[in-house]
Amino acid sequence: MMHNFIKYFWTAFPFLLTVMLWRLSVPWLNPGGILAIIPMFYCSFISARPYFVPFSILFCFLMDYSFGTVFIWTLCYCVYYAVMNIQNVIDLTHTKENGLFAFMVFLGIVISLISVQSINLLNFISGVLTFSITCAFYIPLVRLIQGGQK
Amino acid sequence: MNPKKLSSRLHALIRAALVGGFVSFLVIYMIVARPEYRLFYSVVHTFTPVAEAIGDLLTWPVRGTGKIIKRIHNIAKLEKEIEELRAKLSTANANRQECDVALYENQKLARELGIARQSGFATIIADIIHDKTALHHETFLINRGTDDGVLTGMVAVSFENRLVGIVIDASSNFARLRALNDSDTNIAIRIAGSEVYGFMHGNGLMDPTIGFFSDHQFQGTQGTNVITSNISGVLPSGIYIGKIKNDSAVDVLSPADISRVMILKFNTTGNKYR
Repeated sequence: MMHNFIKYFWTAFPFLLTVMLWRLSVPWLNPGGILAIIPMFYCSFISARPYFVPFSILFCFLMDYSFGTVFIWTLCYCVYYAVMNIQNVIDLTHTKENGLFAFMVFLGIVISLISVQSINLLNFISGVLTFSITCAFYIPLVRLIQGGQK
Repeated sequence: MNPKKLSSRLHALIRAALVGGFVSFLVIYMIVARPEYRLFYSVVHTFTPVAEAIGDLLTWPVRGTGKIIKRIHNIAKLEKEIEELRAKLSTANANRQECDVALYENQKLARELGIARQSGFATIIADIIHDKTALHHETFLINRGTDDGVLTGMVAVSFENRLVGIVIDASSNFARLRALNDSDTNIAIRIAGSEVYGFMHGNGLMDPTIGFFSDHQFQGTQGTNVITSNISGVLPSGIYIGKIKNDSAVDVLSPADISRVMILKFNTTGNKYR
């Protein structure tokens, strides 16, 4: 019974983690629930989980709503997903550091696209800071998801 | 050839094609549905309360701790404020006559500057439930929606009658407002007590800036009051926005500084503010 509960919990964990990180949005540290993109990215591109792609698309909608953007997160996620699956030159499932560099490229593109709409020094610093914080959280959160897998 | 590997590859290709098709759909939808995006907003209006309810359930210990810390901080601030107010009260009591004269003059000046208004509007009191500040976008959610009479285009003011934001999206039980710092904010303004008109533009994390078109030579001095004007036919005129800080920056009220707002109800027919 307990074993089954633990098994189901860890299966649902990436989904719950995504909801939690999206809900715990605070300016500066987690603006618009941006940290939710980490489990979404990891469980879609690096270690694919069943039903995670439609779930991620839905949360990309919610993140777009939080950021006041129209489909930037959703479009980037979908394009990245289509590109990564349509070719077999780059295989993200076997990249170093659990795909941290691929994640940085993805995040860098999205933050640049959002930041370019209003360019000034403070917004630029905010973009860099958000990028750095999100990347710094990538490995710990991925380790947390992997911990449940084991 | 490994049939398992081939099947897996085929599945990946099918998934990529499906998601690629969805990208095409989104691009076409963006072109066709602009600027209302009704389908997008109806999806978001459906799932946001559900996701927030699940999120609330999962994160209550974290948020509860955060609230306790914030309240302790607020109590400390309030204690300090109470001490200051007591000192002010004793001074005012000592010289009541001067206070009455000052109050009368203040009311008279406010009337003359066109700041004191609100009497013409019915109001809806709402709590700020979620601050959605992200990069240069500053929006926030309130716990009142179309069921309570909140409509897109209405404005939110603080209890000191100071402009806080504009409703840009209203669901049945919540609404999203754009704060004055948001980079998409662009509202018509007037210098209080004058006929100098202009626009105020949000700059994300930096203070909003104003530009004048009725008098290009006008130089705003520090402390000059800025109020809304209805020159663009969008906002009601005479709502206090803030004071000029330097050449063109305006000190505005951020939603992070308050927890409740009043929504001013007025006819938004033809108001396309988004």
